[in-house]
Amino acid sequence: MFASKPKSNAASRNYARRFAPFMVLYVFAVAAISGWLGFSPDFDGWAGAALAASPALPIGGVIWAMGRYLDEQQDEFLRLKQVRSILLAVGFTMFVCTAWGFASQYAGLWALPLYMVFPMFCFAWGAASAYVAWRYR
Amino acid sequence: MANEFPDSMKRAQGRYTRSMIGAALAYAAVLIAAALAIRNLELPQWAVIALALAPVAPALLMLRAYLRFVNEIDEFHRRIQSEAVMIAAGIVGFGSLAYGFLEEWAGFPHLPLIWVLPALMFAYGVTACVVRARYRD
Repeated sequence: MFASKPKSNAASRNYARRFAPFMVLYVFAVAAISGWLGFSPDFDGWAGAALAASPALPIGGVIWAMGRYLDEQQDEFLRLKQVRSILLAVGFTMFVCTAWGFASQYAGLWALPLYMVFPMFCFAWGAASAYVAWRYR
Repeated sequence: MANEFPDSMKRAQGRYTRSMIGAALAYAAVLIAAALAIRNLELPQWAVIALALAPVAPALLMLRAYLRFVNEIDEFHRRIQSEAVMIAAGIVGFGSLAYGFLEEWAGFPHLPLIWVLPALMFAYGVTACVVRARYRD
Protein backbone atom coordinates (compact mmCIF):
# COMPACT_ATOMS: atom_id res chain seq x y z
CA MET A 1 0.00 0.00 0.00
CA PHE A 2 2.70 2.51 1.01
CA ALA A 3 4.99 1.47 -1.86
CA SER A 4 2.60 3.18 -4.30
CA LYS A 5 2.67 6.52 -2.45
CA PRO A 6 6.04 7.86 -3.82
CA LYS A 7 4.88 7.15 -7.42
CA SER A 8 1.55 8.94 -6.98
CA ASN A 9 3.35 11.89 -5.32
CA ALA A 10 5.71 12.07 -8.30
CA ALA A 11 2.69 12.42 -10.62
CA SER A 12 1.22 15.10 -8.34
CA ARG A 13 4.57 16.94 -8.17
CA ASN A 14 4.91 16.87 -11.94
CA TYR A 15 1.36 18.20 -12.28
CA ALA A 16 2.06 21.08 -9.88
CA ARG A 17 5.32 21.86 -11.68
CA ARG A 18 3.55 22.04 -15.04
CA PHE A 19 0.36 23.73 -13.78
CA ALA A 20 1.96 26.72 -12.03
CA PRO A 21 3.81 28.33 -14.98
CA PHE A 22 0.75 27.93 -17.24
CA MET A 23 -1.43 29.69 -14.67
CA VAL A 24 1.13 32.51 -14.37
CA LEU A 25 1.00 32.87 -18.18
CA TYR A 26 -2.81 32.84 -18.06
CA VAL A 27 -2.96 35.63 -15.47
CA PHE A 28 -0.43 37.64 -17.49
CA ALA A 29 -2.42 37.16 -20.71
CA VAL A 30 -5.72 38.19 -19.05
CA ALA A 31 -4.02 41.24 -17.52
CA ALA A 32 -2.58 42.18 -20.93
CA ILE A 33 -5.88 41.98 -22.82
CA SER A 34 -7.70 43.78 -19.99
CA GLY A 35 -5.35 46.74 -20.33
CA TRP A 36 -3.90 46.38 -16.83
CA LEU A 37 -0.26 46.38 -17.95
CA GLY A 38 -0.12 50.02 -19.02
CA PHE A 39 -1.17 49.65 -22.66
CA SER A 40 -4.56 49.37 -24.41
CA PRO A 41 -4.55 46.40 -26.80
CA ASP A 42 -6.05 46.72 -30.27
CA PHE A 43 -8.41 43.83 -31.12
CA ASP A 44 -8.97 44.66 -34.81
CA GLY A 45 -8.20 42.12 -37.51
CA TRP A 46 -6.74 38.65 -37.22
CA ALA A 47 -3.87 39.76 -34.98
CA GLY A 48 -6.38 41.34 -32.62
CA ALA A 49 -8.48 38.16 -32.58
CA ALA A 50 -5.37 36.09 -31.81
CA LEU A 51 -4.52 38.47 -28.97
CA ALA A 52 -8.07 38.28 -27.60
CA ALA A 53 -7.97 34.46 -27.60
CA SER A 54 -4.40 34.27 -26.19
CA PRO A 55 -5.43 33.46 -22.57
CA ALA A 56 -6.87 30.17 -23.88
CA LEU A 57 -3.37 28.94 -24.86
CA PRO A 58 -2.01 28.52 -21.31
CA ILE A 59 -5.33 26.91 -20.36
CA GLY A 60 -4.65 24.42 -23.16
CA GLY A 61 -1.37 23.79 -21.34
CA VAL A 62 -3.27 23.22 -18.08
CA ILE A 63 -5.55 20.70 -19.82
CA TRP A 64 -2.43 18.97 -21.20
CA ALA A 65 -0.94 18.88 -17.66
CA MET A 66 -4.18 17.27 -16.40
CA GLY A 67 -3.90 14.61 -19.11
CA ARG A 68 -0.23 13.95 -18.28
CA TYR A 69 -1.14 13.57 -14.60
CA LEU A 70 -3.63 10.83 -15.45
CA ASP A 71 -1.09 9.13 -17.73
CA GLU A 72 1.71 9.25 -15.16
CA GLN A 73 -0.40 8.27 -12.16
CA GLN A 74 0.84 4.77 -11.35
CA ASP A 75 -1.70 4.18 -8.62
CA GLU A 76 -4.75 2.65 -10.35
CA PHE A 77 -7.05 3.55 -7.47
CA LEU A 78 -6.06 7.23 -7.45
CA ARG A 79 -6.45 7.31 -11.23
CA LEU A 80 -9.90 5.72 -10.96
CA LYS A 81 -10.98 8.35 -8.43
CA GLN A 82 -9.73 11.20 -10.63
CA VAL A 83 -11.40 9.79 -13.75
CA ARG A 84 -14.70 9.42 -11.86
CA SER A 85 -14.37 12.99 -10.55
CA ILE A 86 -13.70 14.35 -14.03
CA LEU A 87 -16.64 12.47 -15.57
CA LEU A 88 -18.97 13.69 -12.80
CA ALA A 89 -17.75 17.25 -13.36
CA VAL A 90 -18.30 16.95 -17.13
CA GLY A 91 -21.86 15.69 -16.55
CA PHE A 92 -22.64 18.50 -14.10
CA THR A 93 -21.17 21.16 -16.40
CA MET A 94 -23.17 19.88 -19.40
CA PHE A 95 -26.37 19.87 -17.33
CA VAL A 96 -25.84 23.46 -16.12
CA CYS A 97 -24.83 24.71 -19.61
CA THR A 98 -27.89 23.11 -21.21
CA ALA A 99 -30.33 24.37 -18.55
CA TRP A 100 -28.82 27.87 -18.40
CA GLY A 101 -28.55 28.06 -22.18
CA PHE A 102 -32.24 27.29 -22.68
CA ALA A 103 -33.26 29.59 -19.83
CA SER A 104 -31.28 32.50 -21.31
CA GLN A 105 -32.38 31.74 -24.89
CA TYR A 106 -36.11 31.48 -24.16
CA ALA A 107 -36.83 32.78 -20.66
CA GLY A 108 -34.70 35.93 -20.66
CA LEU A 109 -32.13 34.82 -18.09
CA TRP A 110 -28.85 36.77 -18.47
CA ALA A 111 -26.43 35.02 -20.80
CA LEU A 112 -23.42 33.37 -19.15
CA PRO A 113 -20.27 34.05 -21.21
CA LEU A 114 -18.75 30.99 -22.89
CA TYR A 115 -15.40 31.54 -21.15
CA MET A 116 -17.10 30.62 -17.85
CA VAL A 117 -17.62 27.00 -19.00
CA PHE A 118 -14.05 25.91 -18.15
CA PRO A 119 -13.98 27.62 -14.69
CA MET A 120 -17.40 26.03 -14.03
CA PHE A 121 -15.91 22.63 -14.89
CA CYS A 122 -12.91 23.24 -12.59
CA PHE A 123 -15.22 24.16 -9.72
CA ALA A 124 -17.34 21.08 -10.38
CA TRP A 125 -14.19 18.92 -10.54
CA GLY A 126 -13.09 20.17 -7.12
CA ALA A 127 -16.51 19.40 -5.63
CA ALA A 128 -16.66 16.01 -7.39
CA SER A 129 -13.15 15.10 -6.13
CA ALA A 130 -14.27 15.81 -2.56
CA TYR A 131 -17.42 13.73 -3.07
CA VAL A 132 -15.50 10.79 -4.60
CA ALA A 133 -12.88 10.95 -1.82
CA TRP A 134 -15.69 10.84 0.75
CA ARG A 135 -17.39 7.91 -1.03
CA TYR A 136 -14.17 5.88 -1.11
CA ARG A 137 -12.99 6.77 2.40
CA MET B 1 -8.55 -8.82 -30.94
CA ALA B 2 -9.92 -5.28 -30.42
CA ASN B 3 -12.29 -5.76 -33.39
CA GLU B 4 -14.10 -8.79 -31.96
CA PHE B 5 -17.01 -7.73 -29.77
CA PRO B 6 -18.61 -10.34 -27.50
CA ASP B 7 -22.40 -10.81 -27.66
CA SER B 8 -22.89 -8.93 -24.39
CA MET B 9 -21.07 -5.92 -25.87
CA LYS B 10 -23.20 -6.07 -29.03
CA ARG B 11 -26.38 -6.21 -26.94
CA ALA B 12 -25.18 -3.25 -24.85
CA GLN B 13 -24.41 -1.31 -28.04
CA GLY B 14 -27.86 -2.13 -29.45
CA ARG B 15 -29.60 -0.96 -26.28
CA TYR B 16 -27.47 2.19 -26.21
CA THR B 17 -28.20 3.01 -29.86
CA ARG B 18 -31.96 2.54 -29.44
CA SER B 19 -32.06 4.57 -26.19
CA MET B 20 -29.92 7.34 -27.62
CA ILE B 21 -31.98 7.66 -30.82
CA GLY B 22 -35.20 7.78 -28.78
CA ALA B 23 -33.79 10.42 -26.41
CA ALA B 24 -32.38 12.48 -29.31
CA LEU B 25 -35.74 12.45 -31.12
CA ALA B 26 -37.48 13.45 -27.87
CA TYR B 27 -34.92 16.25 -27.39
CA ALA B 28 -35.56 17.63 -30.88
CA ALA B 29 -39.35 17.32 -30.54
CA VAL B 30 -39.48 18.99 -27.10
CA LEU B 31 -37.12 21.74 -28.24
CA ILE B 32 -39.16 22.56 -31.34
CA ALA B 33 -42.48 22.40 -29.46
CA ALA B 34 -41.18 24.59 -26.63
CA ALA B 35 -39.70 27.17 -29.02
CA LEU B 36 -42.94 27.37 -31.04
CA ALA B 37 -45.06 27.68 -27.89
CA ILE B 38 -42.89 30.43 -26.39
CA ARG B 39 -42.74 32.43 -29.62
CA ASN B 40 -46.41 32.14 -30.64
CA LEU B 41 -48.41 32.00 -27.39
CA GLU B 42 -48.95 34.56 -24.65
CA LEU B 43 -47.67 32.57 -21.70
CA PRO B 44 -47.07 33.51 -18.04
CA GLN B 45 -43.40 33.73 -17.06
CA TRP B 46 -43.47 30.51 -15.02
CA ALA B 47 -44.73 28.62 -18.11
CA VAL B 48 -42.02 30.21 -20.26
CA ILE B 49 -39.36 29.09 -17.78
CA ALA B 50 -40.83 25.56 -17.57
CA LEU B 51 -40.92 25.25 -21.38
CA ALA B 52 -37.41 26.71 -21.69
CA LEU B 53 -36.07 24.05 -19.33
CA ALA B 54 -38.13 21.19 -20.82
CA PRO B 55 -35.40 20.03 -23.29
CA VAL B 56 -33.10 19.33 -20.33
CA ALA B 57 -35.19 16.24 -19.47
CA PRO B 58 -34.48 14.34 -22.74
CA ALA B 59 -30.86 15.53 -22.50
CA LEU B 60 -30.69 13.77 -19.12
CA LEU B 61 -32.17 10.66 -20.79
CA MET B 62 -29.26 10.74 -23.25
CA LEU B 63 -26.85 10.93 -20.34
CA ARG B 64 -28.65 8.03 -18.62
CA ALA B 65 -28.40 5.92 -21.81
CA TYR B 66 -24.66 6.61 -22.00
CA LEU B 67 -24.03 5.84 -18.30
CA ARG B 68 -25.98 2.56 -18.60
CA PHE B 69 -23.90 1.65 -21.67
CA VAL B 70 -20.63 2.39 -19.86
CA ASN B 71 -21.72 0.23 -16.90
CA GLU B 72 -22.57 -2.71 -19.19
CA ILE B 73 -19.29 -2.87 -21.14
CA ASP B 74 -16.01 -4.46 -20.10
CA GLU B 75 -13.05 -2.64 -18.50
CA PHE B 76 -11.11 -2.24 -21.74
CA HIS B 77 -13.96 -0.58 -23.63
CA ARG B 78 -14.85 1.45 -20.53
CA ARG B 79 -11.32 2.83 -20.53
CA ILE B 80 -11.69 3.76 -24.21
CA GLN B 81 -14.98 5.51 -23.48
CA SER B 82 -13.67 7.47 -20.48
CA GLU B 83 -10.53 8.53 -22.40
CA ALA B 84 -12.64 9.66 -25.34
CA VAL B 85 -15.00 11.68 -23.09
CA MET B 86 -12.12 13.33 -21.24
CA ILE B 87 -10.27 14.30 -24.43
CA ALA B 88 -13.52 15.63 -25.90
CA ALA B 89 -14.19 17.61 -22.70
CA GLY B 90 -10.67 19.07 -22.90
CA ILE B 91 -11.22 20.13 -26.51
CA VAL B 92 -14.62 21.69 -25.76
CA GLY B 93 -13.29 23.37 -22.61
CA PHE B 94 -10.38 24.90 -24.54
CA GLY B 95 -12.63 25.86 -27.47
CA SER B 96 -15.29 27.49 -25.28
CA LEU B 97 -12.63 29.48 -23.41
CA ALA B 98 -10.99 30.68 -26.64
CA TYR B 99 -14.31 31.60 -28.27
CA GLY B 100 -15.54 33.23 -25.07
CA PHE B 101 -12.55 35.59 -25.11
CA LEU B 102 -13.12 36.28 -28.82
CA GLU B 103 -16.76 37.18 -28.02
CA GLU B 104 -15.74 39.40 -25.12
CA TRP B 105 -12.78 41.24 -26.65
CA ALA B 106 -12.85 40.85 -30.43
CA GLY B 107 -16.60 41.28 -30.99
CA PHE B 108 -17.25 37.79 -32.31
CA PRO B 109 -20.96 36.82 -32.50
CA HIS B 110 -22.43 35.43 -29.29
CA LEU B 111 -22.71 31.64 -29.17
CA PRO B 112 -25.39 30.45 -26.74
CA LEU B 113 -24.48 27.94 -24.01
CA ILE B 114 -26.96 25.42 -25.47
CA TRP B 115 -24.31 24.57 -28.10
CA VAL B 116 -21.81 23.28 -25.53
CA LEU B 117 -23.52 19.86 -25.18
CA PRO B 118 -23.82 19.26 -28.96
CA ALA B 119 -20.18 20.35 -29.33
CA LEU B 120 -19.15 17.81 -26.68
CA MET B 121 -21.17 15.05 -28.37
CA PHE B 122 -19.59 15.83 -31.76
CA ALA B 123 -16.09 15.96 -30.26
CA TYR B 124 -16.76 12.70 -28.40
CA GLY B 125 -17.81 11.01 -31.65
CA VAL B 126 -14.47 11.95 -33.20
CA THR B 127 -12.29 11.19 -30.16
CA ALA B 128 -13.97 7.79 -29.62
CA CYS B 129 -12.93 6.77 -33.17
CA VAL B 130 -9.38 8.08 -32.62
CA VAL B 131 -8.94 6.39 -29.23
CA ARG B 132 -10.40 3.11 -30.53
CA ALA B 133 -8.03 3.21 -33.51
CA ARG B 134 -5.08 3.79 -31.15
CA TYR B 135 -5.86 0.55 -29.27
CA ARG B 136 -6.44 -1.50 -32.40
CA ASP B 137 -3.93 -4.29 -33.11
